Amino acid sequence: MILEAKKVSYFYKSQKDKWILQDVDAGFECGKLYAILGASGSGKTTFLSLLAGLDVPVKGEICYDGQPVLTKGLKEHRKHHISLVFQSYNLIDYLNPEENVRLGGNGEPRKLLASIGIREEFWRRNVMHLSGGQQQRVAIARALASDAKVLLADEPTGNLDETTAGEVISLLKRIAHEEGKCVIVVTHSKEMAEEADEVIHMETIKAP
Amino acid sequence: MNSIQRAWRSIVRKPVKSFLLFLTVFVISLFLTAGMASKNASIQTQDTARQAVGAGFRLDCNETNRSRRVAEISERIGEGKEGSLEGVHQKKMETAYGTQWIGWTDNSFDSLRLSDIEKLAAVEGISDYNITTCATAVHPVNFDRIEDPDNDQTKDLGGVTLLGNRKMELYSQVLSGNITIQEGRMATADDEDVCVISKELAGQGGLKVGDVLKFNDYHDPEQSPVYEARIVGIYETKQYMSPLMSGDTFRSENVIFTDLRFPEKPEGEEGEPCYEHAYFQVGDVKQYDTVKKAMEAVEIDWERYDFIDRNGDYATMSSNFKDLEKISGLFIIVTFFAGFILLYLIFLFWARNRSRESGILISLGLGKGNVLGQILLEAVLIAVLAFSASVLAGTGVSKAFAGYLVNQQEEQAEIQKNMDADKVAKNFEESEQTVTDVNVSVTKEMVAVCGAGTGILVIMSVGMAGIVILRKKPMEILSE
Amino acid sequence: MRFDQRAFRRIWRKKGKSAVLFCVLFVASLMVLVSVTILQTAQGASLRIKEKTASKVVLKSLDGANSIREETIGELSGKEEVSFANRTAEEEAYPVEFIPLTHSDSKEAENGMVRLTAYDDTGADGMFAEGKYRLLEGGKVDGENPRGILVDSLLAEANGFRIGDEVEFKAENGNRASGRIVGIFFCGMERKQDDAVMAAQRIENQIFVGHGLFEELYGKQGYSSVSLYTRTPEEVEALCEEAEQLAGREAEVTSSDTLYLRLQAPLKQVIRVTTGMLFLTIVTAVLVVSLLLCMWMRSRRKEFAVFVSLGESKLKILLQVFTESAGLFVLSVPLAVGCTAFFAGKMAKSLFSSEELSGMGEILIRGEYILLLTLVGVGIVVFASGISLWPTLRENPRDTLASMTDN
Repeated sequence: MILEAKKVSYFYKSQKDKWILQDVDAGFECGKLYAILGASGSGKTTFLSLLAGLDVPVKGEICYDGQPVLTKGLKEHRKHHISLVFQSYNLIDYLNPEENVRLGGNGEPRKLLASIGIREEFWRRNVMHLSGGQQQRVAIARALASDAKVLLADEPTGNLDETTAGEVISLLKRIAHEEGKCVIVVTHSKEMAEEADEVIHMETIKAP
Repeated sequence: MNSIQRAWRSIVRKPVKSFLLFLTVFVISLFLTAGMASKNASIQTQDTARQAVGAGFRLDCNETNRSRRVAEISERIGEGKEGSLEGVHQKKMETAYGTQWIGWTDNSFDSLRLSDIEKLAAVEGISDYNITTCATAVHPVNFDRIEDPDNDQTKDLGGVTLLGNRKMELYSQVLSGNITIQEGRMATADDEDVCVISKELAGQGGLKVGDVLKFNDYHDPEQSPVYEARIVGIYETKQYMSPLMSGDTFRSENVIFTDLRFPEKPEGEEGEPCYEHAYFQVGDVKQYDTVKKAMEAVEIDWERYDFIDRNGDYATMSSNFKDLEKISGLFIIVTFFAGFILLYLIFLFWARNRSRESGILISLGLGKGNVLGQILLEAVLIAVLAFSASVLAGTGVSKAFAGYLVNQQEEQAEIQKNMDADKVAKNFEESEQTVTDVNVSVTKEMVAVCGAGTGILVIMSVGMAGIVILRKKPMEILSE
Repeated sequence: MRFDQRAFRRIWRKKGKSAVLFCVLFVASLMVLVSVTILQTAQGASLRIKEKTASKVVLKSLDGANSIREETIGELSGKEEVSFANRTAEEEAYPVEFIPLTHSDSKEAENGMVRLTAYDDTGADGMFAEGKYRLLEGGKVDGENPRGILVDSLLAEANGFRIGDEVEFKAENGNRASGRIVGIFFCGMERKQDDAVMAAQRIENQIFVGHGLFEELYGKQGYSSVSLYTRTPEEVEALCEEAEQLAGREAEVTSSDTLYLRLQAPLKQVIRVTTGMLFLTIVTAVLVVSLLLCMWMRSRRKEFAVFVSLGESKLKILLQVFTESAGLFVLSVPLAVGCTAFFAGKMAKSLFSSEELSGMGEILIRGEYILLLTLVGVGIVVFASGISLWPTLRENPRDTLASMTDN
């Protein structure tokens, strides 16, 4: 297991009496595409955020490659262990696509942009002037620039049309199978669930 | 990509945002430097006002000491003996009432000592000094004095009054502005045998500058030697001077100002002047107390003299001047306080607007220090540019301000003109600038203080805002 | 939801940003109010200095006698610009139980009399003010001691007078009056007088009294001269003309304002500097607030684009923004006023030496200033908000939404 959640429990500081997650156990392997499904409010994005090291569980731990992430620190975890793709892309508006990709890591931005289907004429454009699909691809390329073995994506196709969504799903699958990364996707999309190697339902991994 | 590269791109590719911040910092910096320049201007104008009031000291004879010395010397001459000693005279007179002893003193006894005056005048802080003789009644030989036709002149001396001054411009009535020159000039320390007459006297006798007046002893107008003084000026008074004694001899219009050593001549005591007052002008009124202490430390026989403060005008106003000074100081404190707080708040506001971006960068694995460093760098870059621009603009602003200050100063320009012509007494040290000119420039020290203050503030405000943001977990930031 | 409801929700739920904006508006208002306070204080100090320049109009009776009428003086000194009237009257009187000094053997009555000169304030005008007589002991005669007497040191020595002694006089009309010696003076020219000078004319026998004593001896007659001191030295010539019109037949009228003329320009410059600083402060406050509002509006472009895309009218968006910024400003004004009042009251007392300025707090926070600040401030804030919002409202919402990240 490259990434594990062990008895992870979490509540928001503003609502300490309401547990979003309780005793969640899950394990993830490299080379697979995982889809995490669940109803709205089931805590999937929260779970993904904890896996990404964006916060620390109230109880339990997240382990990377058998070691708790807190051992080497969250910064190390975010920089080298995982890469993140957001639903709303979260690109930096004053950096062009090439520069946004460079933010993600040491990967060659032009090669990555080309590999995910962004033509050269768009590499130096204002990133905000790209279409939604293009922006999401840039976000994925940014995630791929990192040498991290785990790629986490929070509803990456949520804002995309069917065709573009299909392209993104294929891309993620390729990343998992051909590049051997562990790709974990939080999604509502049936197509994504169908393409995933493993589907995890939040209700099943949460304690009742 | 490092934080420097990101910072540069953020500034350049978000020009409106950057420019707004630049403009805000520019305005506040300009306000601070202009405020400091204004304070300097404020101090100068207050100083000019202070000095215009003027202050000094007067030295007079102490009467008690004089009486004691007369008694001592009289004892030395001997009771019941005629004689003269050190300016004290005793003589027996036979009168209708029998034998009477009369005593009197001459100028050598009554006069202030010149050596003592000169010692005091040499004290640091004394810008100039004047000596005034006793009012000396003399007989006018070749001109008519002003007389009241209704007055009984039989009891009058029939003379005019001579007042000798080392520097007429420092005579009290001239300093107070009651006496001004209508024509010609005042008598100065270099003059000999000159006089300045009233306009009434000039008008009556058709006298003009250049004419020669003759005087002699009123006790013996027929036989006593005649002395001449050339008219160098004609004066006028706002209010007639109060006569020292009754009689037309002492009326204001018959007072004639001369050089210091003239009155003793027609009086019949040539070589023995009678100095009644000495006036010492303080160069900087703010140093009044220091100068006073220094003068009191001079080694002269202080028991002979009364040392009188002549800072009445300044003394009554000094508390108000001090208040003005404090007001200027207060203004600058308020300026700086408000300016810096505004600067702090603006940067706080600006930094808080970067919270989401910070969350993204942290979620990408960048360190918090790296992210904070970028924001700080942007803030410092903009602040440096804005501050530099404000220093350049400050020169223009201060010039405009200086122009505003000296606008509509025709009255003072006229006074300045008169001062230059020695017609009106200057009773303060003229500082480097003329009366109408005020220095409002921005100095290096101001720039350094404002720059350092701005720098510290930028770091503090961005740092504090950054810390507040970065203390949160990225998830919290991104979910806000 | 109405625009004002949205406005207040936004202010309340974005407390951080609202707080920063509130603080900026508060500091800007405080800055302006305090600067106005300081300017007024400077003007107050300058006014005191002007009053102390002793600018005056002097009336001197044409015949030298006490012929300037009480009514004339009453009318002139009742004018608002006149701060003080120093009246002078002179008469000869007989000494009671003391001897005047004389070197003359004349048997005339004048040789056995003294000369009384009455003042409201011996220090303000006449021989003492000109420095010809100076006090060796005690103090002057003024309003606090209308029966006070100043005597020459030689007369005092000859008669054994001391400060506090009662001295009595008798007028030719038979009236008697007495007063207390409050000061002993000296001239220096006493010895220089001719022996033939009558006692009443001799310096030693010049006695200065208050009008209380004088009127008891001679009744309310006129005056030989009056000095009218003015609060407004810049208008001394106008006062002079008025006095000339009223009293031109009984007195010669002149003015004296030399010290004021010397101080006039620098004092004007002092006020100009302070006014300049106030102007600078106001301009800075307006600019900083406007710029901050621009920054604030720009950071909300996406929000406004969303409203527009939801069909909200641009006017309502403008009104929401006006309500937010004006509301925060109006809230900041009372706090700023309170702080200024505190500053002017407490700090002024400890800071300023002169009593006139320690009452700073009472004079300065006037209602009209607060109203002016509020109205003008709201106007500026609304104007600045509108100007900065206008480009966003003019833009196509799609373009705005496409170009914005969430902030």
